[in-house]
Amino acid sequence: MIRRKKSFTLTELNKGDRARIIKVGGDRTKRRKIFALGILPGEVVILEQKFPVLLLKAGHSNIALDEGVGKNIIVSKENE
Amino acid sequence: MKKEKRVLLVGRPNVGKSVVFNNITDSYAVVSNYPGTTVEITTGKVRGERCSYQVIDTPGIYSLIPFSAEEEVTLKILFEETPDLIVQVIEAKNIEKMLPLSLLLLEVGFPLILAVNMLDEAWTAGMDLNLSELEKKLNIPVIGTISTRGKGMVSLKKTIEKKLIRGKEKAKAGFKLPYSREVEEPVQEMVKRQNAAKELLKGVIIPGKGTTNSLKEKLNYITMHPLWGIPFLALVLYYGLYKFVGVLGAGVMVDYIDGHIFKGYLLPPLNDLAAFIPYSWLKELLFSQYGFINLGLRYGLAIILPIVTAFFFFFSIIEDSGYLPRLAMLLDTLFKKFGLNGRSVIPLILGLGCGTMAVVAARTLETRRERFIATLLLSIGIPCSAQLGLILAMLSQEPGALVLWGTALLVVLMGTGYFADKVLPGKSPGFYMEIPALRVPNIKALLSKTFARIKWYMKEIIPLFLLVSLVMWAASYVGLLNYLTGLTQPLLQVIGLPPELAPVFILGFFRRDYGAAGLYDLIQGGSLSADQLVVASLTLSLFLPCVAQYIMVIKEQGLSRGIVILFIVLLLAFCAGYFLNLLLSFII
Repeated sequence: MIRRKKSFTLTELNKGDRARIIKVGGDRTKRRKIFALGILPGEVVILEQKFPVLLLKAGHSNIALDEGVGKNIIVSKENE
Repeated sequence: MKKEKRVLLVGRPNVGKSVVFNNITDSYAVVSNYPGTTVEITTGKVRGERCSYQVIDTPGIYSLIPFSAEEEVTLKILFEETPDLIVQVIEAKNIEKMLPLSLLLLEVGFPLILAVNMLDEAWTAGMDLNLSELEKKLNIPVIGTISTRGKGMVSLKKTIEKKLIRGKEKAKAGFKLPYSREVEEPVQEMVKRQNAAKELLKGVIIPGKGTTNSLKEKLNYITMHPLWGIPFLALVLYYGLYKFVGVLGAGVMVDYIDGHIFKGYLLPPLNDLAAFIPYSWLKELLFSQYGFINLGLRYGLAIILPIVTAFFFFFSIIEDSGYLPRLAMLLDTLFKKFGLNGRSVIPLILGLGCGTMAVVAARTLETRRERFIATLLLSIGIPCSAQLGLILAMLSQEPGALVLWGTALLVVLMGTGYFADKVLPGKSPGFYMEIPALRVPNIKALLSKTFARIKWYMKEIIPLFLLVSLVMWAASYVGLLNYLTGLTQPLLQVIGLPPELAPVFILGFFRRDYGAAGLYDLIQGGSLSADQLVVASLTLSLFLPCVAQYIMVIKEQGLSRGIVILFIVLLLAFCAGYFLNLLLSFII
C-alpha cells in the first residue's frame, strides 16, 4: 500500500515546487540564522534551483542553502 | 557642552544603506575602526537647516542576534552607544521580510524612521506601496526613497531633523531585548512578528503590473547557472582581473606613474640632492635600493598603489553588483572540500588584490576554524596583485612554465585545504546566504568605497613600507642581512637553486612582490635556467607573506596561531620547491 507522504525535506522537492515551511531543524545557532533570513514556519517558498546548491525564492528575495541545511528543513507541498 | 546628536543607519546588507549615507552626509566620511575591533564604521556629518548631527553607517544586520563580528559591532552601537535616532533602510520589494526587524526595533523602544528604498525596483516588480498608510499604522515616519537617483533624500533629511529636535523621547540608556541574547528567541515570537508584518502590509502593498527586464533576467539566470556560471566567471576574471587590473593597472598606469612621473620628474632632482648629503649612512637610508625613497615611496606609491587602486575598483564593482554572493553559491561545493564554504570566496578573491586586506576580510567568516583555514591559505600562496603581475610577466615568455607554476600552486593550496579540513577539529558549517538582486552599481558609491579602501591602504601599508626600509637598512648595517642570507643559501641548494637567490627570499618576506622583482632582475641577468625559474617562482609564491600581511595575521589570529602558520608556510614552501625540482630533474 502506498501512503501519500505529507511532509518532505527541502532536498526531496523538485525544481519549481512550491512548499510551505513546517519546521526548521539542525543546531540552534544555524536555525536562528535561517529564521533571520525569513525562512520561518508558515512561509511559502519556491525551489528555484537544486544545483550546485538549493536556491529558494521567498517573496522577492532569493536564498541559497546547501544540502546539509536543506535536509533539516521540513516542508509540505503547496498546490497552485 | 551639548553632545552632537547621533543618527544610526541600520538594515540588511545590500539595501542601499551606503548610497543613502553618501547622499545625506555632506562632509567627507571618516572610516574608523570600532574600538577594540577591526570592523570599520563610516561616520559622516550633516549640517542641516535647523541642527547638525552625525550619521553612522553600520554593517548590515538581519536580526538583533549577532551572526558575525561585524553584526556584533552594529548591535554594540545600537545597545551601548544610545543613538538619538535609528533610520532603518528597507528594500521596498522585500518589505515583507524586513518589516519584522522594524517591529522588533520598535518593541525594544528605539526611536525609528523607515526609509523604504529602491522604490523603482518594486514598481518594476509590479508592487506599488502606499507608504502614508504604513506611516499611519506604525505611527512613525516612513519615507519612500530611490537613493541611487537621490529621490526622497531631502524629505528624509527634513524628517530626521524634525524628529531630532522634537525628540524629547531621547533614547534611554540600556535598552533591553525582550529575551536574553544568549537564549534563543522562541520561534513563535518570530512567526508572530512576521504575521504582524503581513497584516500591516495589507492595503499598503498594491499589486500592479510589473515590467520585465529581459537582459537582467538572463544575466541573473546565467550567473547562477551551474554550467553557464563558469564561463561567465572566466569572462569576469579575464576582463576584470587580467585586462583591467593587470594590463591597465599594472601596465599602463604603473608605466605612466613610475616611468613618467617618478623616473622623469621626481627622482632626478632627488638624486641630485643626494650628492649634497655628507653622511653616507643617511644617503644609504634615503637613496639605496631598499631606502626610503626607492622602496618606501616609489614602490608604495608608483608601483603598488596603481595596481591596488585598479583592483579595489574592480572588487567594488563585483561587490556592489551583487555578483559575489552568486560566485559564493557556485563555488560552495568546491570550497567545502577544503573545510571552507561559499562565503570564503570573498576573502580569497580579495587576496588576489591585497593579502593584508584579505586577512582582515576573513573575519566575516563564521567559525574560527574557517577563519584559520582561509588565513592559512592566504598566507601560503594566494598571490596578491603586485606579485601576480610580476610573476605573470616573468613566466609569460615560457607558457609551459606558467602552466606548471599555476598547477603546482593550485595543488599545494588545495592539498593544504583538504588536509586542514581533515585534521582540524570541528566541521564545515552549513552554507546559507541571501542572494541579492543584480544591480548596476552606483558610480558615486563605487568611487567612495574604492576611495575608502585606498585611504585604508595608504594609512596601513605605506607606513609599513617605510618601516621596512628602515629595518632593511639597519639589518644590512649590522650585518644581519648577510647572516640570514648565509642561513638560507644551503637550503636553496637542496632545492636546486643558486645561492644568489637568497637575498631575494629574504626580501620576499618584507615585500612579496619585491621578492618577485628581485627574481626578475636575476632573469634579466640570465643567471637562471627555465627549471630554476619555475622552482623559484613556486617557492617564492608559497614563501612567507609580506610583512604587512603577517602582522595582520598575528593581529587577527593571535600570536600562537600566527607562529603555527609561519612554520607551516616555511615547511610547505621548502617541500614544494624540493619536490618540483626533483620532478623536473626526472623529466629531463
